[in-house]
Amino acid sequence: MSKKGRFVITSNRLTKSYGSLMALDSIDLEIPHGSVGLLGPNGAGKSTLIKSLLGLLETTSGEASVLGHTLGSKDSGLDIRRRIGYMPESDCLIPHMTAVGFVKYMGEISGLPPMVAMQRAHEVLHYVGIGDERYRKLKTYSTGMKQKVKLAQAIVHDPELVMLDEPTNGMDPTGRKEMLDLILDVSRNHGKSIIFSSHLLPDVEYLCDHVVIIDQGKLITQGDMKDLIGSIDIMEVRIKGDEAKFASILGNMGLNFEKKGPFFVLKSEDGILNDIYGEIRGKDIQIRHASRSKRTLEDIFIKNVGDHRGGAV
Amino acid sequence: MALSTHDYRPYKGSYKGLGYRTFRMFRSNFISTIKNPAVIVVMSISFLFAFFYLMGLGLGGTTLSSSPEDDFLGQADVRLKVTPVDDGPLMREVQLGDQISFEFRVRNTGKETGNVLTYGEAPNDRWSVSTTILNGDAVLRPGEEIDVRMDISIPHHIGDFTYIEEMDQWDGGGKEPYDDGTGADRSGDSTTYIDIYPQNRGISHTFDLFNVTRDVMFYAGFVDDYMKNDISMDPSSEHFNPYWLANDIRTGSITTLISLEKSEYLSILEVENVTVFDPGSGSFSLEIGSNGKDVERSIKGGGSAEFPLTVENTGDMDILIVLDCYVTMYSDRDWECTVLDLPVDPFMGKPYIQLGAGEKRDLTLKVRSSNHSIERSFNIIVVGTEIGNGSYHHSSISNGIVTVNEARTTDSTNKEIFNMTWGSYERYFWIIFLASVAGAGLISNDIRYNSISLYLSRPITKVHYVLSKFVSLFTVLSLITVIPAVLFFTAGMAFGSAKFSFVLEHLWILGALFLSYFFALTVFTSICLALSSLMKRGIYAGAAIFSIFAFSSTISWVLHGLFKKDYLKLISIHDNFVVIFKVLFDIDFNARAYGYDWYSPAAVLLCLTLASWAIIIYRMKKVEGA
Repeated sequence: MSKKGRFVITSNRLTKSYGSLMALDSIDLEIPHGSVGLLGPNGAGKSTLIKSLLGLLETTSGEASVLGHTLGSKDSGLDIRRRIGYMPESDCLIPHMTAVGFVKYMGEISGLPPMVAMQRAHEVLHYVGIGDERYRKLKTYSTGMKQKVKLAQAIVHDPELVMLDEPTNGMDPTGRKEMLDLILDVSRNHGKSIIFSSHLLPDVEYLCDHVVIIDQGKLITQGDMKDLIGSIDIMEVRIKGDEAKFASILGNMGLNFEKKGPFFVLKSEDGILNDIYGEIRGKDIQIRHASRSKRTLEDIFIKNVGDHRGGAV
Repeated sequence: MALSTHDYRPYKGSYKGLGYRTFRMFRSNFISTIKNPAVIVVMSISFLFAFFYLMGLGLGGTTLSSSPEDDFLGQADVRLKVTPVDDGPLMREVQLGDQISFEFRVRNTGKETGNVLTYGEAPNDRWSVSTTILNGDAVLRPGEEIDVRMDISIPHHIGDFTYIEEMDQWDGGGKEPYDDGTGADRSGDSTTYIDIYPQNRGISHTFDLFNVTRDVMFYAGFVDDYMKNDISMDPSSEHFNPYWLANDIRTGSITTLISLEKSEYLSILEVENVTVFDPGSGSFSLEIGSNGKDVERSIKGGGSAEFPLTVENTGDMDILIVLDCYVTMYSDRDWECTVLDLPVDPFMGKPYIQLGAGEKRDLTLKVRSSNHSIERSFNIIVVGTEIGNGSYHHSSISNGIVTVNEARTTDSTNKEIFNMTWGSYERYFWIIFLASVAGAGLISNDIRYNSISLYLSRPITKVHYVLSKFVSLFTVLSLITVIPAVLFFTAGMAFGSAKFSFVLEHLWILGALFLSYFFALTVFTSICLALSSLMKRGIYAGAAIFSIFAFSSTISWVLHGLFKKDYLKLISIHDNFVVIFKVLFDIDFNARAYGYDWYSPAAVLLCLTLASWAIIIYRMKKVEGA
């Protein structure tokens, strides 16, 4: 399979600058089919990346391909946007329209014939859980309902790739769970590729198979969720006694560790706990707690962004 | 998870093209605009007004087009009140060579629209008397007023002037204003006065002289057979009888009516210290044709004819002659009369010729009727004035006759339809109002609700986004402009004549209507979209749109009133439209009265439109999208 076929999005040194500000700095992406989490702190360049990939922003240099269309080529923006559904982060609904009218309208300007647009508007609104309320004007909707309508308009025209920008923002836990399940269903059961941009790392961890982390316009890391999280087991150790002495012992053993509150966090390896016990014997240090666990996405995120920023996250 | 019973289905069909998607945007914008309650209210009232106007036409309130006779007969309630603009004396002492001016305000106090023809009448052609409409145009709707300035240049030299202009006057019972009561010989004195004529331009008028008060002075300018007798020049004429005129008014004669609130006297000039100069020994002769025979030409209304003109220096010295040409009974406004192939004296604005002693030159005189109504003959008068030697010699001839064999002027359908559409501030007002409510939120609401990012994430471009907005507003505005205009045109045709040929002849007016609305609505829509793109709230954009279109006229009037600069009138968008469309509708446009030609307003509106598009492009570039 060609590179373009294996990946929904590829980019090579994709750069977008506003004067001296580098919003995207030589981004090299390889985003496969499936659900992909796009992570980054505020101002990292996530929205700029999404808009660039939608063909809404003209990039400064580099190249990118979305669903096989090369960005910047003739009509590529139109072709890309016809095959993509986009759910913006901000409130963007037209308040005086009904939900069904709005979703139908969005379907029409995506190229659906009027009758089809109307039929699909009803269907997708049902699908996202908007029942008879779809005849109400959007200005009467709660935040959760608005998010569902935004999702409905993003998928009404049956796009191959759906870009979701903070789709669970402002939703209560129940609504958030419903939204995540909807997105999961769209991705897993209907074969859509998803790019899921969110601050809520558990959401990304719940949904996504692949993660892209960017910060300050640069790509920090990208890869399969399993590879990133599953590759490192950690052990948390809490002691009673002189922590400086314990740190010194760990250092002498050649172990890398982090101090997180009362815990020493270090890479878990077979037999390491016995080795530590051996070293602290007779040195007035007691191990009061030792547990092994997997790293979370949050750990990955904080570590990578911290590394990128020289330790300060 | 518990999903709804409706599952998500893939779409197997094909997607429509960009044209379809743009059309759907236009359709959605258009429908949401005309469903706006404010838009519905404005459109309904606008249509109601148009309907009443049409009803008025149908009931015979106004005749749109008519036979030549209707140009001068009929009944209409048009009354003019003339008052001095300032409190300066209307009766002034002057010296030879003085240049003075008077300003009058003319107000239509009647109930119907009339045209005002202004001119100053000089004792003879050495005097220069001109009148200028300072604001607005000659069409005075009820309650409207215009300012008229009369500039009078008193000649430096009286020469052999002995002409006495004196007329009988009637002041409603008081003493005669021209009679100083001394019984003195007034040879060498002269008087001049301003006449302001409410003259029919297709709408029939009558003048209610029974409203004449003691402050009103009037005199007869034209009566039934005014073409044959300029009785104003002949006080002894049996036709000149103000009482007779008063009785005759009801039969439909055209009469001059001047109403003065503050004075019985209107610009009586007493010339004193007259110095008689030696007229010198230069002399010359003028002749149209040869051997004293009349030269006759026949033209259609609006046509032109040429006459051979011979000028000969019959004296013994080199002379310089300024040639002037008139068609009897008509001002330059209706006719053009020029001597071809001669340089024009920059001071006098007239063609001149230099002739050595005994020299003779054959010239060509061209007469053109701009748009004439009467099928009859007119005398051509050529006046030569020798000015080369510090004195004036005069020679005039009138052996040229031009006959209009097919009248045209009386067809004022173009003027009437213009008056009903662009000449009416009421129609313009409805466009402003509708543009304010319909155009305000077109882009600003999308910016406010951030839905613009959603539109631009769809397979459309910014160009198509703006295009759909533009066309939808243009279409909405067309509903209250083009449709009533077509109805007015149809009514004009229906009331003017039932003949198909008449309709065919006037189809160009329909073209002018469409062209004018295309231009105007392009300007309106561009400005509306620009303002809408600048504001985040529709109500602010609406207020800005209304202010720019409605108050530009007010600001223009105020500034022009304060500083008296003609170019300040260009601030008024409405006046700019009126000037351009007068030319488009082939209506007399007095560039001198405005102080600029039609292309100045056209340039202003073009610049406004281009500036609007620059704003739209800038604002759309700021929006992150294709």
